[in-house]
Amino acid sequence: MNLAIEMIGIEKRFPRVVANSGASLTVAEGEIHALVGENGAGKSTLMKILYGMYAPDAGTVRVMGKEMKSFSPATSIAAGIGMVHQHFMLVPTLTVAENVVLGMEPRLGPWFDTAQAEHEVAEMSTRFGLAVEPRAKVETLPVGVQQRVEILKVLARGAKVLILDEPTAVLTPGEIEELYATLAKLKAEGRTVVLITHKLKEVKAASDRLTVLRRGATAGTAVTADVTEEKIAEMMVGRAVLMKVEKKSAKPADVVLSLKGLQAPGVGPVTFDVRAGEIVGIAGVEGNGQSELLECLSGLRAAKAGSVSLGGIDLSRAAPAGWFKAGLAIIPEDRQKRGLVGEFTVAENLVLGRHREVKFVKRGFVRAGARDAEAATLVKKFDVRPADASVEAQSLSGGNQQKAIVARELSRQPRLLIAAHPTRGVDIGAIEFIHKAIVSERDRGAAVLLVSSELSEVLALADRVLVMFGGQIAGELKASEATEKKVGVLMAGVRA
Amino acid sequence: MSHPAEIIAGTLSLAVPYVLASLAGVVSERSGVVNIALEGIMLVGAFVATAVTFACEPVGAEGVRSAANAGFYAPWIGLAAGVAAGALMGLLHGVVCIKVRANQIISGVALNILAMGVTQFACTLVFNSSSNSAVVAPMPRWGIRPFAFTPIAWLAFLLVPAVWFFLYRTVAGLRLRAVGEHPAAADSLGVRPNRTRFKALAFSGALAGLGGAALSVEVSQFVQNMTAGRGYIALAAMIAGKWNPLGAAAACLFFAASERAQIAFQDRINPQLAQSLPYLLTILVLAGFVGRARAPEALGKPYEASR
Amino acid sequence: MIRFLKDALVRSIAPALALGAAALLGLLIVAVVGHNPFAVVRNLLSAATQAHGLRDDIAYVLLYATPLIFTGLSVAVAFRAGLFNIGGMGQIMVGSILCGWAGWKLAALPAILAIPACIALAALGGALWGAIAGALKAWRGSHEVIITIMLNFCAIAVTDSLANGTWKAKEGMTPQLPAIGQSARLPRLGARAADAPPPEAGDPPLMGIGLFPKHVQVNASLFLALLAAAGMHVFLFRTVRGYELRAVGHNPEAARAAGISVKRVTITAMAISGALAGLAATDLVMGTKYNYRQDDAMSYARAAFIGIAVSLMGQNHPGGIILAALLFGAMERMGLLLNDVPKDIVLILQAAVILFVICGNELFSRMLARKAATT
Repeated sequence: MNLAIEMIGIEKRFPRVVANSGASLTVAEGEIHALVGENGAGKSTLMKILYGMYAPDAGTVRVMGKEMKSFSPATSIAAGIGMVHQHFMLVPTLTVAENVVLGMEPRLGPWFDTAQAEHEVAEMSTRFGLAVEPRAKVETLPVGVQQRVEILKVLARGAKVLILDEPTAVLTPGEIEELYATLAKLKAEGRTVVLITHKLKEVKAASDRLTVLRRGATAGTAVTADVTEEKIAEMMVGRAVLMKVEKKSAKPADVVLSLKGLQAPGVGPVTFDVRAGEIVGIAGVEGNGQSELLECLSGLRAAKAGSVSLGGIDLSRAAPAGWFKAGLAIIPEDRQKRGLVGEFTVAENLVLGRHREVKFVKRGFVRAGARDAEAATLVKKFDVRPADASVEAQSLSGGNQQKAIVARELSRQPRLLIAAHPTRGVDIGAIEFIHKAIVSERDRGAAVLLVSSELSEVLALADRVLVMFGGQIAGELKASEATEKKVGVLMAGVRA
Repeated sequence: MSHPAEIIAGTLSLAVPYVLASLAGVVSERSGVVNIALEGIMLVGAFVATAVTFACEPVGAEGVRSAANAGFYAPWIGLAAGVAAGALMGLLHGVVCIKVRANQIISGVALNILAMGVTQFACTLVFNSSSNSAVVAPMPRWGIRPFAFTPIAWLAFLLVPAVWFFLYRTVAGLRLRAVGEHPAAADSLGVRPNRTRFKALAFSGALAGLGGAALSVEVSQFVQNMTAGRGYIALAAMIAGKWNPLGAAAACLFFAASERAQIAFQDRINPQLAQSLPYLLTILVLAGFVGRARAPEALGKPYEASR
Repeated sequence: MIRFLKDALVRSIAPALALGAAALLGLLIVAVVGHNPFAVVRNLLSAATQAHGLRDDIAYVLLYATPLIFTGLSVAVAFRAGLFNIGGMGQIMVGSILCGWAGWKLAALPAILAIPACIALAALGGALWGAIAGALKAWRGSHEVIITIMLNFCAIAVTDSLANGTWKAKEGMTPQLPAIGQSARLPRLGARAADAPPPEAGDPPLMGIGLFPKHVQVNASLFLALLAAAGMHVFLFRTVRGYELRAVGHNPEAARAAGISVKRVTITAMAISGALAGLAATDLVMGTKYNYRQDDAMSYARAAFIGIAVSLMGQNHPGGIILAALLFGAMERMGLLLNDVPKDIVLILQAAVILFVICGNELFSRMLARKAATT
């Protein structure tokens, strides 16, 4: 068995983060190798080193037995490595052909030979069975097709080793099957595939062998057929995982949030209610209107048609301030972008959005004392570290930033709590903590709307599950009848 | 009332500095770098072209330099120097906002102040006056009156389609556009975004320097602050022209026409208010009442190469 | 308190280095154009200490610093909201002509009414001109930088046509307004010398602070500038509106999601920024010239561009801005005392300071991040 890749003792540090330390990976030629680990375990960094986008601070990398001396995408491409990034590296305004040949363009003197480029791409498209239209602009294509363009791009550079970073995150189950078939075909041709994922089912379905990363280091490696999903999960987190969240059965009361035929660009029409004392989970592949729905439900996106009300107050045209006044609290999708002001102190962030409450204002002036006292209480209660609210929020780790946001939002004592991907990028200890906090909000009598692309999170927390597809609700299931399989069918757009 | 041909020729001639500067803007911004420094680069181009022309004028029999007995070559050397100075200014902008990754707009404004200081300082040294230079050897006019333009003008008319072909039909242009939209994607394929941007800024600076030279060559003299906001107006034209060389040039013609109209109406309406016509138009353009398009995705965002 | 001092120290490193670099650049330029830099510095020092000596210099530095404090604060408050106001020039001109108009029309009023009215109109004019750019940014998404520059040109045109037209003073050819009333004039800081002749009717009012010579025009608007700096500090760091403004400046998305109206903050910030620039008119019209003159106003309003350098040098902090304004005031004074090289070198150095500060801040924060990474 020849080794395609050997990475030994890799170390990589960033400002405030050690991404890899003691990470090793060996991949045999012609296998599909899964690189698994939780979010933030250092998988992407390790692969970006292999692809030459980062230089390691320590360690050795060998490709096909040859040691890599310098690190740049150009040298990695020359060594036969190609990478399909999680966030596609496609220039949306260029055509498929232009994207595929960028950096190795066919030329006629200084001129770009468009015809030749389109011809080459069409030919490759047929050869690898990856259907694309060379002249189409990338921004007009669905995600599944864009991924094909990415794979073609990599193959066009003669890649012997393909790295795919979380390739299924944006795909429907059907598209995932197609992807698996493509991978099998590549393997049959003698190419090597490294599949980065944190989804255990995917590991079992697609890979021959696997390597587990935990907190930047290699935690183990195994032949996939020899291990169970539970065993892999244990390797990922380092101890047996609490798969189930402890909670009593829900006691739904009055309707708090009510959507009636709500429609906005990218979403709708959507109709559903959320009652006090229940958690309604929204499952679905990312990019099926969840983000747009969340924006509609916090005043960031105006409704084009239909209506939405919170506690009987019509908020179809309300700005964010109106939503908060009506009793909303929201753990936003993207904490860097919407949740925090990085340059503000933790204390200033802990009142963001609550800063006009009577408690914190006196004749237009900030009551710094009241704010700092509140911050100290919240930091302690939600175990935000470091336990010092006067540091800048951007100096906190991702998990602690998220805890600070959860602390702030729950401190509003909301009638409606919207939690969007509340545990994304958060370590396992904090996940349990946040899940418990969400359940206790429900038990206090709040209506909770949970949006998550992690199906297991939705299934563990929700009392009712709605599935979104193509901007609409594709179906509704009771918690007792929601299984991964049933939800998966709905996520693919097959109506229940 | 002037003859229509004269009005057209006058408009074309007024359009030249705008066209060159807005082409400079297109090249720079398509690569992802905001180039508010155009104004200052033009000013430097205008001054250097004049000063070098002056320096290259042959000394006459009585030991007096004069434009009258100037050699045929002096303005040409001046022109080349103006273009080169523009390119250097572009590269300086690049050092600050590509290499150091400082704010592109502040860098541009600082370069504009720098250009004002440098031109006045040097003008005092060379011509003993900070307000204007001596009259230097003129460039020839090519063409039949009233369509007799300086060679720079003819070059500018040629450069409009040339820059279009460069952006949309050459490999270098493809890479430049890719870098302005998604530098990380280009980087992942071995196209170095920052190197590409440096080249784009040098090209952009050269074009703006040429645009500035067009101003001073037109009157064979440098005058303090003679750009009078044309660099900024050219940026507005570029936005109205949707970051496309042809569109930008068309918008420039429109601005030039408004400037021509202002000259024509000066004696009929309040002259001070007539002067503000191009500026008011720019505001209307930027307020989106006249055409609007999407800016390059990565515009204004410094790219941090991982190596 | 210790953290505050430490912060202040850390924040002043980049400006200090920038200043040093600019000084070196200045010496280099002097050497390149063929002078002995040391001789130039020696001449400069002797010019500064001879004649009326340091007493004059201090007064002049304060005089030149006054508009720079206003414009520095103006640029800084916009920066804090994530906006770049380079329309200070137009805002000063509009503020000045309204201030001059008020002082002329309200000449009959007593000082206690005339002075506040003139100050209010100066601020109002600037605020109006700034708010136009803010409103276009908020509602139409137009970039405030180009808009404010275009508004500068428009302000020149509008003031020029007023000073040439309806409001033109009868005497003289130059576009200007009639003089403002005695009651609207701000007193100069200086004191009359003991042996001076008795004051005449047209003489400027004096505050009689012995430190200052009478012939330097430094006036009470300096105190207004210091008051504005203090007010801005309180506004930014102690009020809810200031908190919202800073939130928008750092992260407009998060601010909007937290229920803050980004549009309202944008317009308000540009209006405040414009008002601060407009207040510079109190120095020009009420404290120095006693009327609005188009050419005076145009050259005076260029102080707005130096305000950018002052704001950056002062790290957008009111206290830092006062220090930076004094520094730039000293540079202006130096420029006037400079005989060996063209005084435009000051402009070059001011631009260089801006470039050095933004580069210094960037490199320095990157260094801190790297240090944080290795510990």
